[in-house]
Amino acid sequence: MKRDRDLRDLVKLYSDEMKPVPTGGKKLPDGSVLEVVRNDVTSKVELLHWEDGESAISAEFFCGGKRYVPSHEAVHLKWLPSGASSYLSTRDLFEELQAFIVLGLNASSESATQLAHFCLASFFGDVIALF
Amino acid sequence: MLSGDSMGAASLLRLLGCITYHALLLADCATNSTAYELRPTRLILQADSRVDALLAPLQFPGFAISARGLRQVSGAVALYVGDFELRSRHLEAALFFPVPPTLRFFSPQDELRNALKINELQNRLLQYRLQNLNAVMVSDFDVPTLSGSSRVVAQMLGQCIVDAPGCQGRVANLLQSRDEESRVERSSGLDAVIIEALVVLCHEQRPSVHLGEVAEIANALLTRNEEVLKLKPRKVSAIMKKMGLISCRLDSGGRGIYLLREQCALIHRLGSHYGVASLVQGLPGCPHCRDK
Ligand SMILES: [Zn+2]
Repeated sequence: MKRDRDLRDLVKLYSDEMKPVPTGGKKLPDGSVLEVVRNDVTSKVELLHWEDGESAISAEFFCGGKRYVPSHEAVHLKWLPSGASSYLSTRDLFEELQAFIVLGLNASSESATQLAHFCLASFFGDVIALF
Repeated sequence: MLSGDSMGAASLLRLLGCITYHALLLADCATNSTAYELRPTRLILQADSRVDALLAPLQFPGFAISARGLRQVSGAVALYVGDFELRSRHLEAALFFPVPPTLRFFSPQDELRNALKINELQNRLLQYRLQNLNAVMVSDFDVPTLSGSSRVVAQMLGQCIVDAPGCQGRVANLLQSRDEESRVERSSGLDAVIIEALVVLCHEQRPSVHLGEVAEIANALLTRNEEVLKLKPRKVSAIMKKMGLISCRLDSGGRGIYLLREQCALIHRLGSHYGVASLVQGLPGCPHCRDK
């Protein structure tokens, strides 16, 4: 009897642990980071795991006894990266953003600079206050 | 915070939607949706009364709202204000962007045509985030020459620029004229006039001062500025309280404040904040002018 109960408890514990944890991106306790990305072939939302400068993409990730899956809500995001790729230098990236804004809106260079700052800062909305 | 041309604003928000983090184009504030777990960049086309109430939790990480449990909703927001009058005091820390009527219309077709470029930018921006998240979290970037909310906005924008001192340095230029405008606004307000009066009284080395005397000097300063308004002691007390200077009953002459070292130091700090003219040179021999 007791053995059956122990087994049931163990199964319950295991299934609780394996219950998917939806995430829209998260810094994990081990210092690695999860982000949602969209597979550019299948269009499915997946997770990118970033650790020590290396990234890997998968439908789910296990960490600290938890199974992370992409948040269902991520399908509402029109634009998601398909992965992480080199930006050369901060200056290059900033200038690329400015150029995109100038071309898209015919904005002045001062406006484009201001908007490029906003875009870059939006990627750190979880750690800084921005409005 | 966007103001100005409405078509231009819609266009601008659509473009920002391509190159910001987890962008959501919204017609209202919509923090009640479960999308909060995505920490989206909210690009809101229409301000309403709910935005007023939500400015603080949207703007300041760590302040939750209570809706079906506690939720953190903070994240980047771009909001087209249009004709709606927002009242929140938290508006001060916003970055203001007047939308010029000359902007080119950025259409959904433009978005599609640029899909490849947008994807490239999103991938590079993601790598930038991942590579620099820790550096941004510990950044102590500051522009001490700016003041008040301009300095806060400069800190926020500058902290997100890693390994590019040129770009980081230009943040100060972006906010220079806004800073000058708000300095002028601050130094001509009633708060500034009352602080200027209190600086005068500190420099007279008075141990205490009645509210009526503060009002008298403040009114003289207002006359100098060609204002017809006359401040009453009760109003002076209310304004002083807002700035952390709380009056008490001094004697049979009525209420006032003691000008102890601590109060004089605070008055000087407030004086610098409000750009009180007499503190630019400072009074020789005044320890607070020296420490400022
Ligand atoms: Zn002094």
